[in-house]
Formats: sequence, structure tokens, C-alpha cells
Amino acid sequence: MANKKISQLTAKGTALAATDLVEISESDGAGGYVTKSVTGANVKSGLQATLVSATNIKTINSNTILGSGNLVIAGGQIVPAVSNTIGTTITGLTNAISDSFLLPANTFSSNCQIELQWYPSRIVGTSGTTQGLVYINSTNSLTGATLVATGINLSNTGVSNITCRRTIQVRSNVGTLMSTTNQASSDFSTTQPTENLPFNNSSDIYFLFVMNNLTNVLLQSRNVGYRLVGYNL
Amino acid sequence: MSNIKTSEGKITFNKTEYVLQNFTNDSGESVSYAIVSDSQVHIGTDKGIILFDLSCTINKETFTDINLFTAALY
Repeated sequence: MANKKISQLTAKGTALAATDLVEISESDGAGGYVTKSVTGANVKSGLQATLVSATNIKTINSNTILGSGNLVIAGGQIVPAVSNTIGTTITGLTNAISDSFLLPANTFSSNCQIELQWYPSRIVGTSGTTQGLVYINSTNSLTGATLVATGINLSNTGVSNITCRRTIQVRSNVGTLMSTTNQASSDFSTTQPTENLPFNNSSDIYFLFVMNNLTNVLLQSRNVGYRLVGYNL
Repeated sequence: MSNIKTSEGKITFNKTEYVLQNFTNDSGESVSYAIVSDSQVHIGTDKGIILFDLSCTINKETFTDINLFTAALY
């Protein structure tokens, strides 16, 4: 090898074997180097072995995750909105927004299932009733908004809360759910369906939580929380 | 101020056309609309129940009474 350039050496032509020797210059820690050899096994020691699906890298539902590109996980739960504040207090005979959130465009596909929970609260009033309603709209405004759900009447004197829930089955951007005008806390009981609710998440959708105070000008109410989860199909 | 344009059995709002139709209210009655408050009304359409209020004009006309506002939609 003396007086030969590396480019002049005979090419090995195969992968480095464990017993092959490679010449190295080992630092002596003082600015100098000592010529030594290491084996092919030394060079490969500590390196990640070639990935083999289901052997040294797991699979997802028996599908390999090797390769380039994006892996879309169908059917995974999406939780786009959970409230972290309490809604605005609504006072008197009115139907007004207490809280809202924006569901950004394309969070859900044209075929999906979503489950909405909201928590209306009556906080002041010795008579009259209040309801927690939900609307959707393309803006954060009630004008032109579409009714999604009517919560059950809260008529107990003073403070009372209720958990309300709806499931919406969306197919080709049209939702089916229980009757939007039916006063109910949940959709676990049999009711007439609403089958024409537009739900096209190719654009932004605002969810509006509205308190509707009835028959008592002194009523105060608010929406104290919400949660939206869903699944793309 | 948003305008609602009316035509035979239909309304157009924000470039969307709605066909007016009845819906079943919480009392089980088939109704075409339900007044929600002094300034708001629920209107039954083929795209669900839509809330309109007196901030809207109808065919460019302004209203201050929700009953007159609703009557002008039909």
C-alpha cells in the first residue's frame, strides 16, 4: 500500500465484513494521532440495524409503517374543542351567545361522526326557564345561524346545571341527528330525526352556545363548558 | 346589514338559497316558523332551522317588529 493513493487500491466490491480491517487515525488527545485498525464489527457496533417490519419495528394494526410518505390513520378520534373558560353570563329575556368555538376547515371530512357535549347553567332566578341551545354558522354570529340542538329546560329555582349531548352522523356533508327543536338533554331516547343539517367542514364552522332565557327578566344563565370529539370515516 | 331576498317559497341569504318548509316544534306541531324573542325568529327551511333577526333587511326593507318581519318572509 506504500506510495499508493486510496483511489489506486483494489475495490473490495462487497459490504464490510465483520472481520475486515479498516485503518484509522486515533486521536492521542494531545493533538497527535496514532495509526490503528478496527474491524468491520467495530465499525457497525452501535448502529441501528436495518429495519424489518414486525421484526425490529412494530406494525400498526398489522400494517407496515416502513417507506416514505404520509400514513393516514383512519378512524382515529379527533378532539378539536374542549372549553377552558366559562361562557358569558346572559341576563334577562333574550336568546344570546354565551360561548363559541371555531372548528377550522377540514378538521373533519365529508363523512364523519361527531359527538357534542355542552353544559348550560342557570345561575340566578326564582322563576322562569332557560335553555342551552347550539347553533352553527360560518361566522361568530347568530344571524343566519342553523339550529343544531335545543337543550332541556332548566326551571329549578336558583342554580342548576345539566349535561347535554348530541351525536351527529355526517354523510356527504349532511348531518342526521335528533330533532333540533326537541328539548332534551341527550339523544339516548327515541325522537324524530333531523336529516338535513348542512355540515360542510371544507369551510370554517363556528359552534355557538346560546342561552335562551324565558319568562323572567331577572334570569341569568351561561354555558359553562363544551367538548367536541369526532371520527372521520 | 345583511339582506334576505324573497321569492316564491324561497329565500336567499348570504348567497345561499333556502326553500321554506315546515318543521315540527317541541309541542309536536308542524309550523313554518317560531318566534324566539322580540327580535329573533326560527325559520324552517330545507337546510335546517335558521335564526334570523331584525338586523337583517328583507328585500332591502328594514323592520322593527318581529311579527311583521316574519310575515314579510312568506
